Amino acid sequence: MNPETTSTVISPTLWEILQSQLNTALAIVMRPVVQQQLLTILAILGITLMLPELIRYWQIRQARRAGDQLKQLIWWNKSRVFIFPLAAPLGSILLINLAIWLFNGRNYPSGMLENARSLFSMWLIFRLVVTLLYYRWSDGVRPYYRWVLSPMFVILILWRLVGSSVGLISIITIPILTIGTNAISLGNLLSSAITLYAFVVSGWMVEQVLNRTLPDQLNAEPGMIQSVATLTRYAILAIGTVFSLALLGFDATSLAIVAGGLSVGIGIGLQDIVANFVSGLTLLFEQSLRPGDIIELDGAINEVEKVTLRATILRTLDNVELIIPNAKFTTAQVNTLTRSSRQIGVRVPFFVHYDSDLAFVRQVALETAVKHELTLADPPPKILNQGFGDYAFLFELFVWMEYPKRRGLYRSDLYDLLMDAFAAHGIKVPYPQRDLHVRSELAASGE
Amino acid sequence: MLKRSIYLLAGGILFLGLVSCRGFLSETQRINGRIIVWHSWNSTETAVLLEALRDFQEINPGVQVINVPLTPNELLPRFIQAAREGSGPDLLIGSDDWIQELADANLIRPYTSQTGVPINGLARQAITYRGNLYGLPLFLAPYALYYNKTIVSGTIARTLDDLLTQAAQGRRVAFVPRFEDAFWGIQTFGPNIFDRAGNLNLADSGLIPWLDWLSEMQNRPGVILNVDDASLEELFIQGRIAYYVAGPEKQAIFNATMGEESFGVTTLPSGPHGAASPLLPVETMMFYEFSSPDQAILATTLAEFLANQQQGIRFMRELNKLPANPQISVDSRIYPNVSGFWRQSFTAVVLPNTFEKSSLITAGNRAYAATLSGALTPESAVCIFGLEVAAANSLTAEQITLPPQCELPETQP
Repeated sequence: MNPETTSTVISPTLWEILQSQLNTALAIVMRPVVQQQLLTILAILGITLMLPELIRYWQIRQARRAGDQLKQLIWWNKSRVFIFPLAAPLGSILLINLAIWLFNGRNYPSGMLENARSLFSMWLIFRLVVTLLYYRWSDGVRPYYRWVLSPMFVILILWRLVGSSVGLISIITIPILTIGTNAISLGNLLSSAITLYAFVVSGWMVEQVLNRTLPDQLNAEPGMIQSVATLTRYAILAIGTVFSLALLGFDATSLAIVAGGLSVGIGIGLQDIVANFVSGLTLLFEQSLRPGDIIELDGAINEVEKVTLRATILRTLDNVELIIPNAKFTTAQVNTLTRSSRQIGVRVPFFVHYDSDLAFVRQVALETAVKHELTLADPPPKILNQGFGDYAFLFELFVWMEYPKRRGLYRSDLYDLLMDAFAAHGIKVPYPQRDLHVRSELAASGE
Repeated sequence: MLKRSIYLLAGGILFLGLVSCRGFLSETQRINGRIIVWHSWNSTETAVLLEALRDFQEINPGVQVINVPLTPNELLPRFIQAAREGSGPDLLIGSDDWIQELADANLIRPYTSQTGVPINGLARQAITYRGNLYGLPLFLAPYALYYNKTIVSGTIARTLDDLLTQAAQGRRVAFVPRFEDAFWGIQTFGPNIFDRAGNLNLADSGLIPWLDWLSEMQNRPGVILNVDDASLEELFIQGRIAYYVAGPEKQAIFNATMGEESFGVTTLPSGPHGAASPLLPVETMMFYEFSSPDQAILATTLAEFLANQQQGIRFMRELNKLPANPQISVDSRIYPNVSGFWRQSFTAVVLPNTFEKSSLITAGNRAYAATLSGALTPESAVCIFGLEVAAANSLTAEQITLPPQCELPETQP
């Protein structure tokens, strides 16, 4: 029959809790049983963190002794991928089990060692997952390791440590700031930040997955797929933002107030950003610009690299990246060379001597054009007669190709080929000439 | 990596070395250091405790007491978990019911008096286990009879017959018919179920007639027997019940809802055999087994400070708690309600720690429920109760007497 008490507990301030936790830690660490356990854990960590180095040292010694024989050991080459990363957590678990057995044998408290064992187990699982992922996908795993697995592992460890500490968990319930009537606690802030981070990472991962899988599934254009993936990512991010704000305690009304306040700011100072943002949405939805498109902007040919919500990244023929605000694409004239088709026509003007056999010239020029690997057979090349020049017949070779970015180089190649072909077939390309007529009668009379 | 490991190891060892040295230095200044106190007191109670702790720290400026309030439900499990890690509180304020479990798990240590604080005789029994005192009693919490002053304006019921008569007249009476809550009536009909030697005596105890009485009275007008204590409490607050049997912890609720002048507390009604004898819960300060030597001394010093006469009076004055310190005499003119519990504590009894309490309570609750539901006669229910307790505690025929026609199964050679 426990004397009942109501469950109301005094709410101390954040500073009082931190102070209390510090004092509690200092009080606890004074105890011999705690010191023994902490020393054991530190010793185990010290030993096992050195374990991979010891293995490496052993490997070097063996290699020196046996020359190349060690490299021929297949089992070693295969297993060392796992041995190095897993040696420390595995060794820690083995040693901590031994320590727990010894402590229990002496009737010493071993709860801290047991907690450490569960943390070491989490460490082992984390390392195992990372190792397997690296083994399967090599360096492609690195961003996932850095942005997904590592933060998850750290959060789990912290959650475990905070959860097992008496009183520390109450820190997260204490309000640390107030917005309007909404008191925000550290717990609100943490859960909101973690949620937002999770959505950001999820959005990025979904974008990666869509970019990788959709091309095989849908057989759609790369630009289209990237646009869908980008929009999906932003949609996830938007949902995450709403969730994150909801976790901070903002209801729809509060959000409307904030949005109202923001709209004033937007009207005054952020109009360019909003214009670019809206333009970005328009570009993504209309698909008027897609990654891979070749466009002519301000007289220069560029390839569209990426369309984001604020700006579009272009790459010039000189391999320079240009970041152009999206509003420019919705307000200025942009010539796209690849809007509906990636085929472009290239005009190559040339001229030949008036004495030339024009039918033969046409034949040679056409044969020369199709020799170039980029020249499309369909539509076929054509020779257009441009009329009579001052000193030569004017022609234009009109050919089709699919690589707009290489248009300049292609035309240069065609000129080279034409020059060689004309030289080989004796077709003369006249020098520019002017006929000067001197009247001799006037000179003789001396006028 | 190698360097980092070595730095980590060296840093840790240096830290622990410094901390250990600090421990040795403090040998010369005994009353110095930090101790942790855990309890499940509510905010009002904690505020009074903090006042007492401030007084203690004023007398002992080198001592820092870390006060950690927890909810009643999490106090014991949290303590067990922390104690197994080595991070338990130096002083745990909780129920004497926990002593068996915690002492068996080697998580609390016996109390050795430093200043010779007097201990109430019954409370001493409650905290004695395996020949040792496992803690220092702080408060006593026997059940007593609450009555509504606006309804009970005349004579207060002193006997069970008075109670029934008044109930029939509209002054309704209510209590929880479970083993611990309704233990008080056993000695009104006969001897206690435990004799002086601590053996279980069911053959001629008052348990069978008490269960018989309860079974018969539950259908009488004005008598409410219900295991839903919250509902009974609510009925009493609403003034729909004149008499209500409960512990001292309800005073705070009734003070807040009804007002201090609206209710009174008196001793439970006596029966044909004598005075009522409720169980005596003891709120006890228990000492952690694995405190450092300095902390152990500090914890004992603090516990003796909290259990002294002045602090007992402070807690009684501020919180209406009944101090366990026998030197404190409760004046009924100053503390009328607390004095009701104080008078009741003289006839209270404790369950001997030689029995496993949980088995007693579980079997007892079953016996009460079986009788009141009509599933068993009181004799059969008590017989089964006896057999269950005997089995759970491996009692021999010398340690238990059973009702007629009830026998222990023969033990195999």
